[in-house]
Amino acid sequence: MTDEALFEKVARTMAVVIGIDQSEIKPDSSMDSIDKWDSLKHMKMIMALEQEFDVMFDDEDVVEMLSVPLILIAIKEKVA
Amino acid sequence: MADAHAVQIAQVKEAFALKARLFQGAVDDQLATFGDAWVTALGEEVSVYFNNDNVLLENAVEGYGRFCIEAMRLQRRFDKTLRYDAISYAEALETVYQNDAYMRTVYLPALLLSHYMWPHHFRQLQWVRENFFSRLSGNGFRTFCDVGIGTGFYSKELLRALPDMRGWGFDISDSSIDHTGLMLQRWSLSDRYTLRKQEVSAEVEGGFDCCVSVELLEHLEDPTVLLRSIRRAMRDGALGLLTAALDAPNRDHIYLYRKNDTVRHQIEASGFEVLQEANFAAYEVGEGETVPQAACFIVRTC
Repeated sequence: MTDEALFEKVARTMAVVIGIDQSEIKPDSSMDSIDKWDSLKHMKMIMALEQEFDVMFDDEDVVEMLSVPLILIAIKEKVA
Repeated sequence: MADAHAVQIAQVKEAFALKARLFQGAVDDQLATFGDAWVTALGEEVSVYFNNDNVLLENAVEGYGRFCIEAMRLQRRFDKTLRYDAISYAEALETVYQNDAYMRTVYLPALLLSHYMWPHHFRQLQWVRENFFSRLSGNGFRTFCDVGIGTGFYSKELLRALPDMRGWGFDISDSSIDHTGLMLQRWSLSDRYTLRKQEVSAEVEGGFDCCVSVELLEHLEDPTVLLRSIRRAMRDGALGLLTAALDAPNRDHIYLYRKNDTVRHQIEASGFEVLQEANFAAYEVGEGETVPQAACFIVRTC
């Protein structure tokens, strides 16, 4: 999967869970830049991504995946 | 913000920024929701129990973060199954209450901070202060037992609010007993309190004027055994505070309560009259989701 396709898939999942338009998810978006991205939405998002990519994130990763770049890195490490 | 505790709240914010950034937004949310009452309560705890020690506070916040991640993951699974993971009391005892490393680094710090960081736990605290402690004040109540002391939080609160009362705390966990001892020592309340290690459902020497048991019922395979034991430990006309967690799939929760009604029926069938009750939810529930709640009851023996 290309980086663009991966971002597209992640952004689509994030937008549905957070409840915002997918266009609002940018490659450099983070919890600080998206108001509706709170801890409850974060956990739902993590579990949705786990289902989407058939992976399981460690709790240590979950607390660090607070931006799109960090989410992409975590997924790449798991699916590699 | 209450200026007297601005420093402590800044310490808390810094600890979350360093150790549990995912949850740091909750500090501002709680401040906005509860204002000075919350600042004062948390500020005092940081000053006294944490002794303004940043490292101690950061370690507690780190444990709180780990606990919350697990709890939130379990909650989303529970949305689908509406069942708690099957665990026996013996297994919970071995993997949680007698697991000193987990108790000290995750479980107890998380429980303590949850009283301030979880909206339903802070609302419960306010409700208890306003509705339960006020019933005890000035009415000749002298003794209380706290069954399942956890961190010792509610024993501390009761001893602080009612300077004429003496307490006895019961728990099976050495870690809980140590934590409570330290809590009461730091709050200078140890001289009015006795700690006993024993099974929570075991017979307690009786005659107490008052009993508190906060979020213990759901940890047991048969909560009615505990309720009857508590009743026998109290004198006729004694008052009690009994609470239970509903829809809260923590790793050591065994008995699933989904409504206040179920808890109330068990309480009434065990020899208590319910004088007042409340239900507090952790957050606004979304479609197809469950939400942890605190079911709270002020009771009188009958």
